[in-house]
Parts: sequence; C-alpha cells; structure tokens
Amino acid sequence: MPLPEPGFADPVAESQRAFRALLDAIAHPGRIVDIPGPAGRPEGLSIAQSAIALALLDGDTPVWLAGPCASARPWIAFHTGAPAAPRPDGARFAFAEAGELPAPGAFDLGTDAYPDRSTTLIIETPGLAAGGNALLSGPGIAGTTRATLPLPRAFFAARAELAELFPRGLDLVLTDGARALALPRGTRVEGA
Amino acid sequence: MIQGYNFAYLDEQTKRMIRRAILKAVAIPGYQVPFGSREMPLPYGWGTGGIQVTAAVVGSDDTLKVIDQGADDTTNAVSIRRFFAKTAGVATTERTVDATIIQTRHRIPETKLREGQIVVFQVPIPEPLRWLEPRETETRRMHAHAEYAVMSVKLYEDIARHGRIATGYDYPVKVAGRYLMRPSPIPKFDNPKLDRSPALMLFGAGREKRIYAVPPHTEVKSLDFEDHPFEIERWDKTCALCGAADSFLDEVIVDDAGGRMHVCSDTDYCAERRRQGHGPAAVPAPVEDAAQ
Repeated sequence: MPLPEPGFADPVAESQRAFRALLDAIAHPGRIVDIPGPAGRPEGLSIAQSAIALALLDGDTPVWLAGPCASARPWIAFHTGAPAAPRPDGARFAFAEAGELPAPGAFDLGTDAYPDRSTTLIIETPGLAAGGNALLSGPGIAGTTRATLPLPRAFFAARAELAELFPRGLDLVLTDGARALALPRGTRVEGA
Repeated sequence: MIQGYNFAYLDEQTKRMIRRAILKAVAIPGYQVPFGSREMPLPYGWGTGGIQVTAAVVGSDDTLKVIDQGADDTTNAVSIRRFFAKTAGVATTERTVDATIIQTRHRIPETKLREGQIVVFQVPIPEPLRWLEPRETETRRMHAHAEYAVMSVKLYEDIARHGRIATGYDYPVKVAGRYLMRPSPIPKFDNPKLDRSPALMLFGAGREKRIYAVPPHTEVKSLDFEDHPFEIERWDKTCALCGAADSFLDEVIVDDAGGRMHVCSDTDYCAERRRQGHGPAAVPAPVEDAAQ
C-alpha cells in the first residue's frame, strides 16, 4: 500500500496560519485570501481545501466528500481521523468540486436554536476572482463588494432560497488552488 | 518562552474546537456558540474565555496588547500579556496602533481601530436575557424566535422608574438587525465604537462556555426608544493629564483630603496624547540625538 501524501510539516504553525486566513475570509465575505497548503496534497482536494481539512477536521467532525473529492478519503482519515458522514446532512464539513455540486439544501443547516450546528461546504471552483458580476453585501462588507463566482446560476438561486431560514443556513468557502473566498450564510449574492 | 507546553498553552484539539466555534460565531453575528471551555491556570472571572479565544487565534507573527478597564499596567492585563509572551513567545505592546490582537476587559480603546485588528473581549455573562429569564432553555428559544420584547419592557421600566434608561455598562445591542447581544461590561460610552468597526470583534465567556462575534463593518445598534434615544456618558471635565475631552474618564482620589481628578481610562491614549504635547502633563519632546 502506498504511503498517504504528507500533511503539514509544522502542524501547529500551519494550522494556525490556515485558520487565520479562513477567519479573515469569513470576516470579509468576498475577499480572496491565500491559504498556504501542506507539502503534499491528496488527489481530490485543492491546496486550500487540503489546508482547511488539516486545520479544522478531527474525530468530532464527520466529513462528506462529494464526487471526485472522495479520492481524498484515506488521506483525511489518516491525517485528521475525521469520520465519513453517511449523508451530506450529517456532515460538519463537506468538500465538493464545482462540476459535481450537491444542492445547498442537502446539507445540515443547523436548527433555529443551534444554527452553528450546520455544515461548512468547501467548493473547489476554478476561476475565482475579485471583481466581477456578483454583487455581495451583508455583515463583514462595507457597503458592497464584487467577485467572480464561477458556480452555476441554479446553485445561487437555491442558496438564495435558504436566506429566509436565517439563522439556519449553509456557510460556503470557495477555493481555487491556494486561494479562497468565503460566503457565510448572511452574505447576499446578486447577479452571480 | 517556557518549554513543555504547546504553542499558546492549549493543545491542538482544543484549539481546533475553539477555532470551529469562532468561525461559526463570525458567520452568525451576535449568536452565542457553545464551546468546550477548558480549565485555565487562572480563576473564572479573570478572563479565561478571552484567553482561550486569543490562544486559538494568535500566531507567532502577531503583536498582542492586553488591557483591563483601559489600562495596560494592571495585574490582570500584565499577567495575561506575560502568559502569552511565555507560552507563545509573541511580541507584546501597549500601543493600540501596533497591536494585531487586543484582548480587553471592559473597554474598547479610544484610538480608532483599523481593518485587520482583532479585539478579544473577556465576557462574564454572555446572555443578555439572563437576568430577565434564568432558564437557558427559554433564552435559547427566545433567541431562536428573535423574541426580545422582554428587553424593551425592562428598558421601559427603567424609564418609568428613573426617567431614563439606567443601564450604564453592558448595554444591550442588536447585531446586524437580528441577535440581541451583550457587549460585555464595557461602558455604554464604548457601544458606538462597535457599530460598523473595521476591526473583528470576538467575545469569549469561559465560565459560561460561549463564544460570539461581530464581523467588521457590521451594524451594532444600542437598544433605545424614539423618544428616549441612546446616549453616551459625558463629562464637564477633561483629562487632568492629557486634556482629552473625547475619552472615557475615571475619577481618581488623589489625597486623604478627598481631592480627586479625572483621568483617561485608556492609558495608551492618554500617554500618546501627552507625547504629542497635549494637556497639563505633556511630555517634553525628546531632544534630537546629536549623533544622527
């Protein structure tokens, strides 16, 4: 059996750096941040996705790997010990690719009393860019900001329908290689 | 730096759990995320929540400032600063402008905060409805349904009894139009600084095991009534040291004869103003080094 690809060389410092980059992204929806990844990354996950997995997953976080991301299962199990969620709505974290996207409503949206018990979905999407057609507004954004969010229109339409369920909702992180942009549940997206 | 402890004291599993809670807290502004608060090497009430949040956030390239009631030089502030210097080896500062993380007990610095800074508040009681409804199951339901009328009734009763809203600190706010939140026991003087601040605000309650947050540029509205608008404290005095008329003043007794003076609660703000030559206690400008 081949060795799994390596994880962080310095797990303490690199986890902190990945977390801070992600915190910056979630605090400023639409802002593109660099998330430096591990030395080796598994098949099925991008650099930023791998870094987020290593920084945040452990035995307490069932994870769901959609489509091609499923190839990373042995790597995630080896480095983080995160159990596989049997269904998307049982996952704390889910990883997907833009080409094979599950519907936003398929995930755990939390409850009105505990909206934090919801899935964070991390989608690899080539072509992420600051500026563009999508107009973002909401907490963390001074006025409005623009971004290019290369995901199907239908996905954003389905996400917009979840807005009325707030505080329940799905928190999204879009990644493109080593870069990431967050769309927490409270961010309004128009024109994507 | 002392050996034998993980970076910033907490183990990685704990930090991950706190980090996940912080990310959800930022994604749901004002909502209190439960977390598995750890035993810390200081008693509850001394900032165990704030310390755990700081430990989960801090990195080796951060510069940490810690204040207690605005002062950098009180026991609590000094101990917490030393704790992180020892366990994380991070740079510390007393200057607001130089800090990337500011852990605070009961004040927000007078110096304008900037984007990229993180303020970590030490929170004794996170639940704004707690004194009105003791049951956690009930307050959680009230938050779930945004059922906050009971707080308006409380503030109204204040007006009926005292002619004004009598709450002077930990004044309730509504975050991003949804969650009712305790801003921690900051004077209401500091509430306007929370509103649309460019800095990220994180709140940690160690004993009560809750983390919550206000993202940058987010509306934080102090509760009030149309005919009784929210107002902050004002003084007819200025700081006896730096002459500031725009800062929160502490009244200090200076002798056995009952003599007193008003000074800035924010020691860094006061010192910086004096360095710039303001006020009765202005520090003379340093003499240029002849060698330069």
